Amino acid sequence: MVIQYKCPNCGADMKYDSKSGKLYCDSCKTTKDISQMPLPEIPEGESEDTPDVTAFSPTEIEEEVSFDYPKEAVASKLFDSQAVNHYHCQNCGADLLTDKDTAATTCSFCGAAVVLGDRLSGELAPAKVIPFRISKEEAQTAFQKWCKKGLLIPHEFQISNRLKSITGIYVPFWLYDISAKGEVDATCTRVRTYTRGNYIYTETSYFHVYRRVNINYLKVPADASAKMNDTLMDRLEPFHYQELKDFNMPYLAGYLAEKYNYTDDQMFSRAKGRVDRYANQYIAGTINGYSTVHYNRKNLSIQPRNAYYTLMPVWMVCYDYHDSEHIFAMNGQTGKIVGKPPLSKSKMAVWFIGISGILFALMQLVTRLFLWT
Amino acid sequence: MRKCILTFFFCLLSILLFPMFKIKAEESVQSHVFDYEGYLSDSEASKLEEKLADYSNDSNCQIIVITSNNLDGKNATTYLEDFFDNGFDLKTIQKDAVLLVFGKNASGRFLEIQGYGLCEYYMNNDRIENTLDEIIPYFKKETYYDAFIKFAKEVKYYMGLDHGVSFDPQKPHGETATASSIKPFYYTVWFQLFVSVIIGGIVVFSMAHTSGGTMTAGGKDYLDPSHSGITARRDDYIRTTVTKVKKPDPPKSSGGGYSGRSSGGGGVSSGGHSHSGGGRSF
Repeated sequence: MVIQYKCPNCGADMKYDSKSGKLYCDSCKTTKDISQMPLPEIPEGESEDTPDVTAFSPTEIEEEVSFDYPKEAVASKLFDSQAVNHYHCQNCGADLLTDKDTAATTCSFCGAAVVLGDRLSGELAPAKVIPFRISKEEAQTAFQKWCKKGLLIPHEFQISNRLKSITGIYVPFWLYDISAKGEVDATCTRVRTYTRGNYIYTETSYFHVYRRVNINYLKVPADASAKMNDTLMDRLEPFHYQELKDFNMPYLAGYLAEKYNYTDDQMFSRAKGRVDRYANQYIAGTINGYSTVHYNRKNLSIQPRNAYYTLMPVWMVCYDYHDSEHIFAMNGQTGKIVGKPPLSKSKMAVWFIGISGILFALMQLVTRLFLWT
Repeated sequence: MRKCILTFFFCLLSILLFPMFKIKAEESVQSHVFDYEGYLSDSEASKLEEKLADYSNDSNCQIIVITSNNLDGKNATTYLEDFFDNGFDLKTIQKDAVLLVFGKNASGRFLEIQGYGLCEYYMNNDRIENTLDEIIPYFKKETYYDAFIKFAKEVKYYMGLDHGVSFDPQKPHGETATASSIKPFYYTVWFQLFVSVIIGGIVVFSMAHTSGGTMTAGGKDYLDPSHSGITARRDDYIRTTVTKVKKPDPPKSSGGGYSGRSSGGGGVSSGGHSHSGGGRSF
């Protein structure tokens, strides 16, 4: 099911505009509120079209017998079945270049913004989306600025325009609401020292400390795309959730989008690992005013409450430098840039000599000022 | 740009390191030999004058030897102090100087050495004692020329030896170098060089490490404060234990400790010049 948004005035393809937060027509400059957008007209008789039905509610279905595979096997089967689909652009009829994860793209022949509706519905329907706030031009200039500011980035890399490609992509994330219940039992001490006469006294008071905490974390993100580097995506955080919107397909018009490769169950271990760290820090923070803390017992149970399938805006930038590609990512909402830039050995040397030299000079100066009268 | 930075660092370093290579003392017209008692022959005296001028130049301090039997009725310490004050006022003696007076009187031979200016630190009391040990045998043999040359050599040696030199202004007269007054290790060039290289390395490494952006989101970003907190707590006092240790003895005051060797020591001349010193009768 291919969905394209046509301008009601002139019929040209509309795209999502990050500035106004509306759909925008390049030809006649019409803007259209996303909520007012009529459901896309779907021509009849196309082979890839699926009939529009309301899904059965769970009460309508009675399970007779269960043939459940382990969940992972089911999931991968589901995705594989999507791989065979072919999509055609409704403007020019050309084959759309998609892989099995593409959920939105542009036609490589006519440039029309295309959303693949069937990859965004049913099990694969995102619950939420954060729309792009940073436009392509802003992202481009911001990247170049960032490179110029990099203290160790080679001069050659900074001045030349090696931007190979810049792509706005909605990356699938799971946002977990997680509840953590913790219980610790610890022996703590308070130590005081004082001097009387010729002796130094050390007074150690022992305490038996107990804490039970109930901590809730909201929308802890974990990237659910196999293509995206996890650490790169983690560093893009934080996203501002005030702008989290209920998902609507028009947000995707003009950008790439991927569907998730991993289900919320599969990704939960990553989010759990983070919450485990956070919760331990939280618990440590509740035991105050002691010199030492020794845990006798520590129980921490971490349970997911909700998982929202959410699309996050990311600008992916590819730079070409010395025959190797350098990938950067920018948070499409906040503009935070991450990625491994090339490092200049000579600049590193200059900084090293400079810092060490100045430090050494300062120390020598101090030595001379204070000791040579 | 890079060239500018490099040039800047180079200039800065050279300015700061400049004092390490001290300029040779300007060709002094001051005399070095005052042989009032004629212990040296004329030729020896003029040769010694030349030699001492050389040694003085090499060691960046003025080496002065005096022979006087009656010391103008003063004791040796005051005699040298006055000699220095007088010469300093007349600009015949420079700020950094080592003075030696030798003479004979009814009770025997005596020697006194004093160091002024930088020499107060380099020729400290301890080193003066060592120097006395070295040169007294020559005086006993009455080979005065050799004795004075030996003295100049000792001065040159010590003036070039940083180890154990204390510049502590709290310890007047260049107190004897003891463990506590030795130039602390963190003032040494090598230690400072080592520290700056380590810090420079750490800074550059962390710059390189964080060049790709860092993880800035933490637990606080995702915590729901209205639904998080402590649901139960106890802080029960169990007991208190007390231990005691004897206070460490305060470090013994430094200096001294060479009793029986020195009759002199440092002081301040009536002209207000602080100096190190040491002397003996033999």
